[in-house]
Amino acid sequence: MNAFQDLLMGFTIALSPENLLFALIGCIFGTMVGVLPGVGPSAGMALLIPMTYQLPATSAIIMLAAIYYGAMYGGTITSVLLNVPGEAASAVTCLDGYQMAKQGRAGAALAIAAVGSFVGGTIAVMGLVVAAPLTRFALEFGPVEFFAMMIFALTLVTGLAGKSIVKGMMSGVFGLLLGTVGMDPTRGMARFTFDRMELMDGVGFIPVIMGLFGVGEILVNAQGQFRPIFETKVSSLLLTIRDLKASFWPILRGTGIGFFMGIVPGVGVTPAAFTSYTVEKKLSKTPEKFGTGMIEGVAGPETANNACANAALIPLFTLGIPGSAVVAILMGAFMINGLVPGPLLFKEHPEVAWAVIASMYIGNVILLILNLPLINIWITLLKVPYSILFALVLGFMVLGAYGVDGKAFDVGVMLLFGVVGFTMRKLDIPLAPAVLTLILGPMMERALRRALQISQGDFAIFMESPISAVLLVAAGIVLLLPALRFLPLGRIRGLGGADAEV
Amino acid sequence: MKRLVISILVLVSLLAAACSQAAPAPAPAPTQAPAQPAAAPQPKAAEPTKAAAPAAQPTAVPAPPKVDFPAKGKSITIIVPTAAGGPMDMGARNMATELERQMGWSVNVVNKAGAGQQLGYTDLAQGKPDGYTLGLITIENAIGLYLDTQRKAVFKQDSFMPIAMQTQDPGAVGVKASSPYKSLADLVNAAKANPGKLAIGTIGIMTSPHLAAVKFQQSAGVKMAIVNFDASSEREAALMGGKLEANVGTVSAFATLEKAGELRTIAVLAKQESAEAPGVKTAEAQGHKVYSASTRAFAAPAGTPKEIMDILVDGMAKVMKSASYKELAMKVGQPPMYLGPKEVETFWKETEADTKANMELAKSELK
Repeated sequence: MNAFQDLLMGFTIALSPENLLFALIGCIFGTMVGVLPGVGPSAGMALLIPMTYQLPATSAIIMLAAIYYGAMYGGTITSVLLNVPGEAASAVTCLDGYQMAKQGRAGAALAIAAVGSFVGGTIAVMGLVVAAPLTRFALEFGPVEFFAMMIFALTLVTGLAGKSIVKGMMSGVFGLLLGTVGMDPTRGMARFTFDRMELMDGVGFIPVIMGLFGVGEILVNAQGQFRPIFETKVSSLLLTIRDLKASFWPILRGTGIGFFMGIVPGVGVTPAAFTSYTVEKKLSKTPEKFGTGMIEGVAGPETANNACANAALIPLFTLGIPGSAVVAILMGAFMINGLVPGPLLFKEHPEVAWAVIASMYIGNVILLILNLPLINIWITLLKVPYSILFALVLGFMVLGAYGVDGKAFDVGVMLLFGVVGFTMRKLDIPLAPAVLTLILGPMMERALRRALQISQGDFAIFMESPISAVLLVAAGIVLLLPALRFLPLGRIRGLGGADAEV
Repeated sequence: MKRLVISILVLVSLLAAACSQAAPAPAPAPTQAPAQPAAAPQPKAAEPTKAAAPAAQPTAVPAPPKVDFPAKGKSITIIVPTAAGGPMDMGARNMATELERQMGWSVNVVNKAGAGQQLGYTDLAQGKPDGYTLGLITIENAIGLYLDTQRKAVFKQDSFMPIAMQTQDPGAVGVKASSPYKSLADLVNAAKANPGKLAIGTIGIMTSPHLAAVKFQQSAGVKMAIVNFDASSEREAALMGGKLEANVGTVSAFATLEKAGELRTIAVLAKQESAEAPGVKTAEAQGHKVYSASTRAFAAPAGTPKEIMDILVDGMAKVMKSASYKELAMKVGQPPMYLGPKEVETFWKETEADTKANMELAKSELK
């Protein structure tokens, strides 16, 4: 098969000592960037782009790509250890990962995250090799289908609610309201900006998430005296067989979810992680235990976010369309080097294209090797006295919030939402739904508005598209399913309609 | 063990502090400056109101204090109002690299994205007018921002002093390569057959491409469905997916897909055809007087002293006329188009007048 031979050729280039070195540098840098809360892969890539002017094209892109997917590995670490999400996608890992850390199983959490990330990333890269028909499918998702998909994702909010659905809904609505701040997508009117220019783009969700989870956590812990919260002895990274067995299916499902959501340009990593978490919760035999340290709640989302990040490169390679702002930076790196990503790249510069793809495999291996032993070092962090540790963490977060866009305003936002997060915790209102709706809400609105612009106000367009119709019906089913169970027994079994006689 | 970990943490936090400072990406450290700046090509440098000695070297009078700009050890910052990696960012970095290489100046590029570029322009307008803070402006964008009263922009044309025009990316109309449309007339016919159904994609609201789409709709005399996206990639993806019939963008935005054979540019929205889109007729030639462009120029905040402006103008002019800059610029598809400060101001005035008129049209359309 031609693609296979091309891939082998790519490996010979990617395995050259200098390209290996660049992949390694990128992976290390990417992990670091992922660990630092608030500093995302875009900042890291932007920092290194000028240095790539001097490098040959292939090496430059290998390094920048490694930063990009490496950041997904790093983001887990602070989520698990400190309940501070390294980036938005890692917020969902906080839910169970941090609990696992409290039970002394931080090592297991980090290890399964690394393993799952590796599996997800590698399989997604394989998708690159057979990419073309997939991209065509992904392009079928225009604004109409996008909106339907978001509605479907939103029904998953109920899965994040925890014990009280009402409180979960409150949280979700809060997130939706928060998402309306900023310029509206079609008329350009400013909403809730209080005349502050910084709010024109909305309340930055990285500062908000860092505030809700990270600062909130610190405030919660500051109530009592600083006693060590990690009671039991922290185990090393030993994963038990039970852990591996439990994580097997979540990892596979996470790969699928992440991959699918990655190839559709514009979806982003966060919805993938959240969707995986909710799916795992719904499919689990013990859903009520989610939020107390279920390893499935870490394995699934972490796999999903890596699969998504790697899959997001597919539209870039096959069509030259970047799926997100971060991927757009990578595209810029291609263009600076005079390369045009897209089908032409494979025709005119196959050695570059395949070398980069091969190096993505290699990069995932490097990251696995890098991250597993490092876990021990990270865990030692937990031995630092809490009072010192959290002061430092707070400092990091302030730096991170500032580093998002260079605005002190964001730091203020983060601190404000720290107080909000603290209040929500005291009131037992779950944080996760707010995060999900904060991200999905604006995306949904944009999609809805554009769909209506295309149809000039005709709502029927949502049913005319097969993909959209299916998704909306599925969303309806998910919403109504619990209600069906309230109907008298004997008439209904499972999903059946009202007429199903047993 | 504890102490070791604590000291590592402290070290790492210091590192993070350094990184966060640098996170607004700096350009690489200046290469060896062979000559001090303000050397050869600045005969006009620093003529304070002393004896009006013409260009000749004064002898009896002590050497006129040359303006030491840029001063040794100080860096010039170019503010880019978009995120890293985009066309504006790359254009600015190219200029920064060449200024360092050819003029020996130390130049940093800082990204200040947000609010549709408003944040970056505000920073520039409020920057210290000492020549060390500069910015790259997309003129049509800036105009759109301050003409939209709702945005409460704190800048206007006279908040900026243009230094040099960098490039002009002409607007274009593109369709999917596999679609039957070969010219604007084809689009208009399709629109007339299905009024209100022809979906046209643009970016932003009240931006140059959006206003152009509205103008085209008016010129065609038939209602279309104009869709506003946030990023050109979404717009292109929707076109490729068959959700839109045409996109209004720019020649270079379409270049990648055009080269890949996925997209066909059917009109250039400028007064002349573009070398980057050979053989594509202008909209005017096809009977529709629609113009759009993305014109980028470097500028300094108003109030920057003349001596410093002169140095900047000369420096950038020299770079832009050089072969090495052209090579970098062509790599990112931004053919250098140099215009000096006065010409840029004239262009700006004309564009503002045009934009005002178009915005009225678009506003009535949006109602």
